[in-house]
Amino acid sequence: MKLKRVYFRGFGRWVDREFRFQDGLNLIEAPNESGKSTLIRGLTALMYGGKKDGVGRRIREDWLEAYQPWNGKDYGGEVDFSVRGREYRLIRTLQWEEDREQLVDLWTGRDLSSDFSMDRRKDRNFIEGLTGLSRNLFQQMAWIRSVPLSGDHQVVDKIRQLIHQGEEMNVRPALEHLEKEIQGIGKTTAAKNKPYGMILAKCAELEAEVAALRATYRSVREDQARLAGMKAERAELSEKKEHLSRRVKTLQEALNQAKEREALLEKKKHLEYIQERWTELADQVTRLEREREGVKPPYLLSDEEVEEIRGLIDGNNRPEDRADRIEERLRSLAEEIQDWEEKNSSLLSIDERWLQKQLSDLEEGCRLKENLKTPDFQGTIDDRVKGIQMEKDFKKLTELQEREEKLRKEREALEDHRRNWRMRLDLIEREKFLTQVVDAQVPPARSSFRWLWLTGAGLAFFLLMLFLIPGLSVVGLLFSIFAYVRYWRLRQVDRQVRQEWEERHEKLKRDRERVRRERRELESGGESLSDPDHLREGLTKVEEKLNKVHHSLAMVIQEQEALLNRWRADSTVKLGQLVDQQFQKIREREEARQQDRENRERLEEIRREAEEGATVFRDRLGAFDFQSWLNGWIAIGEEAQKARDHLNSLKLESTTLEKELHRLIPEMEYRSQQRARWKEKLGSDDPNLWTEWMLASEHVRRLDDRLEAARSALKKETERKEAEAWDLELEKVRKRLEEKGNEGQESVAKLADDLQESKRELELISGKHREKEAEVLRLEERLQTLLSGVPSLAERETQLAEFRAEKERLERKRTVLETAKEVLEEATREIREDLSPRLAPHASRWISKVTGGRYRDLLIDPAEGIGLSVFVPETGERQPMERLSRGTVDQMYFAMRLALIRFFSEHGSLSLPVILDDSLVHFDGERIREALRILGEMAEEHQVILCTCQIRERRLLEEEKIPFVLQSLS
Amino acid sequence: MKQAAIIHRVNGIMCSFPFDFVFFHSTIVWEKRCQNILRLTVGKWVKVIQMKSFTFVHTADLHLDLPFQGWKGKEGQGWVRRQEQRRTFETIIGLVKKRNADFLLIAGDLLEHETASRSTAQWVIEQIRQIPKTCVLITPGNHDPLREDSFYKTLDWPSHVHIFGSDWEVLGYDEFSLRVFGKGFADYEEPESRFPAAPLPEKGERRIMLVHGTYSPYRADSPYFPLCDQDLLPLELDYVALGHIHQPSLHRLDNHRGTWICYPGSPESLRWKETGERTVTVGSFGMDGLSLERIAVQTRRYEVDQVDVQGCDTEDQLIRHILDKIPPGEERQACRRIYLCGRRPADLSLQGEWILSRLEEEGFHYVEVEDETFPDYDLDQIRKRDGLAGLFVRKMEERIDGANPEEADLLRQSLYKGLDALMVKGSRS
Repeated sequence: MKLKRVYFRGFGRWVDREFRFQDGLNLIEAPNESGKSTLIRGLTALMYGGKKDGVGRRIREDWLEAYQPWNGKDYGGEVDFSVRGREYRLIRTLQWEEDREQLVDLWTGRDLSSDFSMDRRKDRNFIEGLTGLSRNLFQQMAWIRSVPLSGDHQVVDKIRQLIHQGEEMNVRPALEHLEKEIQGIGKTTAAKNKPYGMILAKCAELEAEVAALRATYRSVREDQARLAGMKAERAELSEKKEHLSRRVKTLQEALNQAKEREALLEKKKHLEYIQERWTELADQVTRLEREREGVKPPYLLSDEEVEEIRGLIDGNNRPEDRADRIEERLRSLAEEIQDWEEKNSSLLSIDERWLQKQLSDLEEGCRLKENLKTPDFQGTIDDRVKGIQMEKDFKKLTELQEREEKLRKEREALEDHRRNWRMRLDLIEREKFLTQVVDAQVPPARSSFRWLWLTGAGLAFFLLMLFLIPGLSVVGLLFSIFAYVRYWRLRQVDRQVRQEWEERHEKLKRDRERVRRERRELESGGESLSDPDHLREGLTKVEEKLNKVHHSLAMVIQEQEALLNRWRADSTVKLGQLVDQQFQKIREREEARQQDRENRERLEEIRREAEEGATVFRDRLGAFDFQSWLNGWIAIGEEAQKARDHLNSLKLESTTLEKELHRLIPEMEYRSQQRARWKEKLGSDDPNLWTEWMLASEHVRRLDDRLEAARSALKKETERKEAEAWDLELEKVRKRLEEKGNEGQESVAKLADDLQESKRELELISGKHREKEAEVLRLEERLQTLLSGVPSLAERETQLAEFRAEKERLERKRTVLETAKEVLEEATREIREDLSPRLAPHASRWISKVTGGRYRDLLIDPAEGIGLSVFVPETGERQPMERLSRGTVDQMYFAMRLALIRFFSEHGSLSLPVILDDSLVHFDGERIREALRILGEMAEEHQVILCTCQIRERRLLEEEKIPFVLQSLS
Repeated sequence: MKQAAIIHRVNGIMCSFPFDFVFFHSTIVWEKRCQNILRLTVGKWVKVIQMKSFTFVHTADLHLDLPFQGWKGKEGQGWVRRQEQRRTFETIIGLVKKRNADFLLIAGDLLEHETASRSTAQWVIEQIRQIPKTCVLITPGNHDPLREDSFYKTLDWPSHVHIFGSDWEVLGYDEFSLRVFGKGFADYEEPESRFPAAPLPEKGERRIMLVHGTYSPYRADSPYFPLCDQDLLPLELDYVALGHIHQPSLHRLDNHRGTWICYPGSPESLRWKETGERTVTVGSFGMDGLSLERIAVQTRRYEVDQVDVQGCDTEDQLIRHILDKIPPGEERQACRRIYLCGRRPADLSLQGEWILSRLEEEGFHYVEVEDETFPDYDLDQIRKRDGLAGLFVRKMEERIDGANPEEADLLRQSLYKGLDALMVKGSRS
């Protein structure tokens, strides 16, 4: 490949600029910043365009913006080149929005663009298509720079391709494709957007759902089993319930039968009983009729007649007897009254009113006597004396109080007087003191003035010395400055001290004026205050008087206290009250003595009247004593009352009996007539016979009553018997009983008990049945709830199986891809290891040349790009190339790239140009000479473009007589 | 057989059953109620054999509510498939009605214990209620064992249903001279087999055994009630109604009864191995002895196809190829799994989703496509190359040679994947 011409319409600094290259060595010599690198960059830019390689979309190369043309808008240009004997022109616009490219066959003029398909970046890859070299590959090999080749797989792959008969396979894209597919599947659960992650997530989700569903299904089955058990229990209970219902029914029927039988028996018994009772009633009627006939008297007396006769024959209540008894009693009573009056004549003669007055007087006497008191004459006199003395002290105390008041007023007047005199004296003394102080005040001295003088002296010294000894005058000046500064400071202090003194002095003056003004005001009252001695003398006299008054006052108070202490009073008022109380007590004693005298006179009067009244009872009452006589008269009064009461009762009885006797006489006459009538009626007046007939009549009447009752009952029963047809009914019952035979012979009580027990049991079982029913319903409801909306487990399991199968499929696919990748990498490694021995001879040849034989063996490791290392001659150790000096490293890369270019030329029949952009700058003199020799050698087969900022290359080339074409950038 | 032979000789009618009772008869007797009466009017003691014939339908392994295995259906298709399973049971019930079958024998795995819903069980009961005159005998299997929480125990089954317990039970049906021996699984496994000590059959007695288990002619271990010829021979059975194996099979013991041992197979396909028609067995005990027939009852078949993609350069060609192989109509109504196999052009990438959508457009009810094709690389040529591809092929083949078949399959896929990446991606860059 040879570059013929480069034309920049616009690329960085190059605008509308053309460069032409020749075969062999082209030397571009220009100082730095003159556009050499831009030229090289522009060359590759025109060849490969401005889109980034190795990406699937259209992205700008990093440099694209940086090389916008400095002038003009056209960004791009043309490059003419030849490849394998054919010449082409590549026209390219690098303007991003209007990016265009065109390849023209310079021989035919045909536009070859359409022969190259666009890739995804919308680039036709002309150069890559023509040379098989990508931009990177071209730059790595043709452009000699100090850029390591390690990590560059493209170079290695290209070498491998060339070695293996041009096998057009790049392992990197293949591996990347496999890796991409692996990544596309995903490796872990974390990659949730990848199919594998997604399916794992789905599996996990569905597994959880299936587990939950399984649990639900299990729960349903268990509940269903429980439900079945419950239903079985319910059926059992139902059967029991049915059985018990039947039993209850049977027992109920048996009980009804038994009750019916019992009712029939009862009815039979009842019918037999009432039949029997009817017969008994009939017999009773017959028997009573017979008995009546037997006891019936000749004359049947009615009840009234019997009563009447009985009254006539009753001996106890006959009026005659009663009249005899009353007369007898009247006689006895007359005798008794007479005896009583004789025996109690003295008592009966007592006047009741007189007795009551007597008793009243005696009671008064007793009361008065009890209240009589012996008068305390000595105590009364003492009290009177005490009262008089107390009254006297009270008066004295009152006088003392008046005197105390007077003394107090006098003391106050003296104290006012003394205060007045003292104030005047004080005013005079203060005025005098203030006048003395004001007069004695001297203003403070100004200490700063001496420093002013010293300043003046210093200045004078300065002026003097200025003329005499100028050097010494400075001292004077400095001293005067110091003194002035000092003066300045002290002057401030003096001013402050003076100000304070003046303020104080003014204050004293104001005080003196105020005191004087006060004195004048007092003097204007008429009294001169000019003589303080006179004032002091007067003050002494007042104080003496005041002391006397104080003494008198103390005496008066002491005397008052003595008087109060004597009568134990705490005040004059209290003593006055005590005096009043004492005189009240004396008055009360006088009144009591008067009352006692009157009582004694009354007692004497009562005694006299009592002795005069006690005529016949004088002996009985004994010696006079109010109490014994009172008791005696009370007893006599009571006896007299009793005597009078007894006499009255006897007289009352006598009167009553006399009235009774008068009432009995007509009754006795009526009875006599009645007896005569009955004798005539009954033919006998024998009371016994009358009594016998009376009893017989009563008996007959009782029998009649009973007979009537019996007949009535019989009639009623007979009517019932006929109405109810007892005979027929009884016959029917007997027949029914015969029909029933043994049926219902069981005990009703027992049957009732059994029935009750069975009913209880039935109720219990029914309850259990209901409970079980409810449980079944609840469980069925729960099952319904559990089942409602539950998806099909089978469906979910099917889905899960699908997901798992998909997961396994992805895992298998990934394994397949990973295995493929692994084996491919393994094969690649083996192939690369195989590259080293093939590439090394080329590299070693050039390195030996470049380094002048110092380094002979360049070791190449194609495992990771092209890693270079050498054996260091001094140590014999193998060292990575990067550890060598910068110059050596540059030599190595120079050699390596020359080796690669030669390798490509030999194996790929493609003669690449050699482009060096200040690449030999680190080569020293001998090395660069050797490098230029080599380049001269290379230029025989390859086009060499050597850019340099120095002239040494041109000089050396000329020295070595290596042909070259000098290109100028100016 | 001996007695039957005697009778045959006497009345000239083929009968393989012994007589029932003997009475004197001088006239011709016609008993309408009993169709199978042999009348012998020899003027002496007459032997009349009253043998009521009956029909039974034998099925098993319906596995209602079993999660589908290897199912790749879209949403809703699973539900449809489950409805189809139910429809199959309805078909069986319809068959019972149509044939007036006296017995419906269900030899286990009717329901899927863990995943069957109560509504499914109740639906089964409702279906069975439709055949009240048919005696339904169910023996629980290892998938629906008679556990405490089994719907067999916990739901109210109609009175004409008998569910066998874990111990052997013998049911007698005198009107059919029939004894049925049956037992069910009490748990998920039952590796120990026990058999009833059956007395010698009475004259004319028919014997059926209904059990869920693993039959093999010779003794073999199995966790699911193993049974073999030796176990069955002493029982003098006419028919052994089995369940558990989903492929239908019929065996006959070499005994004087010629005992039939029958697996009716799953009546509806449950997995991709169960392709083709799915059947139940209908048996009839009549004058001619026991006759058996297999009746297809499936609602939808499962079918598996191998489609060689050789010669298909594009996906359209491939679709056409599949459509040619499976013509429109009933075949496309089956659930189909299509294995694409053979060599395909290296640059032909098969898009499963696209193929499925095209096939659905062409009227396929349910279809799965498994890509087992491999790119058409000349491995012999590549293997010989010095370069990377050759080395890669050699290395992969080394690994394949040392791997087990399953790993080898994966490694083979890796080989082609690697080559795809290398040849297509590597060469494009």
